[in-house]
Amino acid sequence: MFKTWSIIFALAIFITGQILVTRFVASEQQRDLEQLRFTSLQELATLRARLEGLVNANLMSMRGLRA
Amino acid sequence: MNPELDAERFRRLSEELISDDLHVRHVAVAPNLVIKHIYPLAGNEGAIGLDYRTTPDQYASIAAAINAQDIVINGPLELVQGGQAMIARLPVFSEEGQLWGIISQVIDHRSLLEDAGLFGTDASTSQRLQFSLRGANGTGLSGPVIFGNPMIWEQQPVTASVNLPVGEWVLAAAPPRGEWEPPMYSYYWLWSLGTLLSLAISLLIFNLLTSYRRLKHAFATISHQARFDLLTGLPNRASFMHYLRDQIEHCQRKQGKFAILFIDLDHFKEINDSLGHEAGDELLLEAGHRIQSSLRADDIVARFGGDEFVVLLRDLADPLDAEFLADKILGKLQPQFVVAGHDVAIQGSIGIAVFPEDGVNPSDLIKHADLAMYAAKAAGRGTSYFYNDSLRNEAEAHIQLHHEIQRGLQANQFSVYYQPVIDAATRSLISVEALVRWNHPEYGVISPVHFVPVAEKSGTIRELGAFVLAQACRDYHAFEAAGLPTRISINRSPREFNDPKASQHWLDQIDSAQVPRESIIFEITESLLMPDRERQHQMLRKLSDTGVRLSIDDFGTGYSSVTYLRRFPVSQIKIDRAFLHGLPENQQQTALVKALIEMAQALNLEVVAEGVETETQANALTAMGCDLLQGYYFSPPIPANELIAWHAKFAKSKAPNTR
Repeated sequence: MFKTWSIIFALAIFITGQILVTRFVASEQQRDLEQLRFTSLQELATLRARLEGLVNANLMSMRGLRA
Repeated sequence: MNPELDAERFRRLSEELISDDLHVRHVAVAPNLVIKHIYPLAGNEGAIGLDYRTTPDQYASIAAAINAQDIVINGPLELVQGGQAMIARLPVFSEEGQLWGIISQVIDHRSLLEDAGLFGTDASTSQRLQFSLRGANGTGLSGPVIFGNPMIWEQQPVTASVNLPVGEWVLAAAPPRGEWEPPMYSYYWLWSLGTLLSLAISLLIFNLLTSYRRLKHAFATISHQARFDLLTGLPNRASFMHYLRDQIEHCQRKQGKFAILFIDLDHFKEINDSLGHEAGDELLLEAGHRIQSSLRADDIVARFGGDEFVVLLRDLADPLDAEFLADKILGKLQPQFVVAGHDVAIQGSIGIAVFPEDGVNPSDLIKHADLAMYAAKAAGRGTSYFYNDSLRNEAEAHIQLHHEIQRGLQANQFSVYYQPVIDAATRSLISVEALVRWNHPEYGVISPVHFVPVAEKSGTIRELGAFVLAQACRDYHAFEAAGLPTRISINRSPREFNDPKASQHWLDQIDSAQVPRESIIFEITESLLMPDRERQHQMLRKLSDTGVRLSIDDFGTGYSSVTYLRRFPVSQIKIDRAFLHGLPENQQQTALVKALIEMAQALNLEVVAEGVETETQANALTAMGCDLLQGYYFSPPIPANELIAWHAKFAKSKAPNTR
């Protein structure tokens, strides 16, 4: 009787532990996601700057022709 | 812009302005919206002279540029020359603000985007991110996709707007997998570590619980062993002393009595030596069981070690009861034990100490019981002994009497006498009361007063009662043959009702003797009608239902509750002889008897007056309405044959009385 209860109790502890591990992993995953979005945004900003620069360089030649 | 721009100057100017690192395919100048110059001319000659106003699909974008007064980028569009490209339109105005014309530039957007790095600057980037651009014609987010996988826009991409002179494009990036979250399996090391950790903790806790349980079990064993004897499971000395102290305190408060029996098995050592210790243990275990089974529920038996047992008898009404319980224990020990395949006969010696006579503290009581036990052993074993002298003498007398009653029953020393019960009105014999007499060979005739209480205590009363009933049944037939009215009253002790089968035995006895049940009256005492005796009440009802009549003996001396009388099937009450003292001179006494008789009449009960000694008493009782009379005035209790003779004489002498 007591042994059964011990097993149930230990099992409950294990399940609780697994729930905590799952929550921790999920929060890690969320953190990594934020990090990825942040670096992606930074990369995108560089790309945008380069694209704007190239477009403007092309347009500049047209403006020069007007002058 | 110089309106007089000639072709050669335009070519040189364009050559200078449009370097190789730009993505310009060609530039067209259209003063007044008609294409006049194109650089490079080679391959584009067909476009010279094209009026934009005549090409509606191009005019719309030109109108937009004119409207915005700034560069408008269109496309990507399908080119007339083949392939796709974007077209930038720059409206040119004169100093007065008049539209001079349009400069158009065809931009190879693919190489532009490639140079900007949208196809992935390096391998690691393209693995992590995919790009897409939308907002053709500078329409921003709402515009169609210019480049890249359109699915990216569904995948919560990160976005950045690319500003154009008019309008904007929107750049988006998303991981090639389509989801931003890293997959769960990529955290396998966290999973493994966490699982291992929780597994370790739960195993640790399981171990802790298990060892706690073992510890608790061990403690329980220790505490049980500290209080109980290992072999017999009975309380041990320490535990018994604890109970004893409690009992002493309890009895000191309540002025109660209790006794201690010190039991020692005789010749146990010899058995132990000859049959071995295991056989000895077996014997002790069985002896412990037998002792316990002979005690009441709240008595305590303990093993003191070796072959010594001690019993605490709680709540003794009379110290002499201890003697009977001791005898009961000795009786239980008497039958042979089967130990290790041998039949072993064993006896016990019991020493009895009584609180408070033999000591008021535990050690004195135990010591005195022990001493008494040695005295019992010295007196010849297999017996019990009181420590207290007077109790011992009294007990010895009782035990002796008890044994003598049993011997007397076997030796036919008991006989039944009958006292006539007379009808008050007709003065004729109505019934007889059967009374037991003991013709002791040494002491002569002994009155029931002396031996019935002992017989009640020791249980011999059952055998005595059965004897009286059997004898009365035999005599019934003799009386019937002699022409006597045949109703016989027989006294029943309350103790006889303790046996649940007693009533059935009596009925069987009456039936087998072929005596009509209606001829038998059982005289019982009022104490039997007390409310807490439901089982006894059922027996009374059963007797009454089957025809046996019930009479209340010694009415008026006990509880005399009218309620009980009404509730039970009683047909007769017998007024105790004590009420007849001083009758009829004493007026109070007379009034009391009269009241009793009237009450019985009201309840429809027959009334018998016992102890009628004079004629005046008989007459007075008759006048009061008493139904039946019994007493020495008529006849003392006499043997059956004398009764028959007495009746013949009485019937003759009665004739003048009734006249």
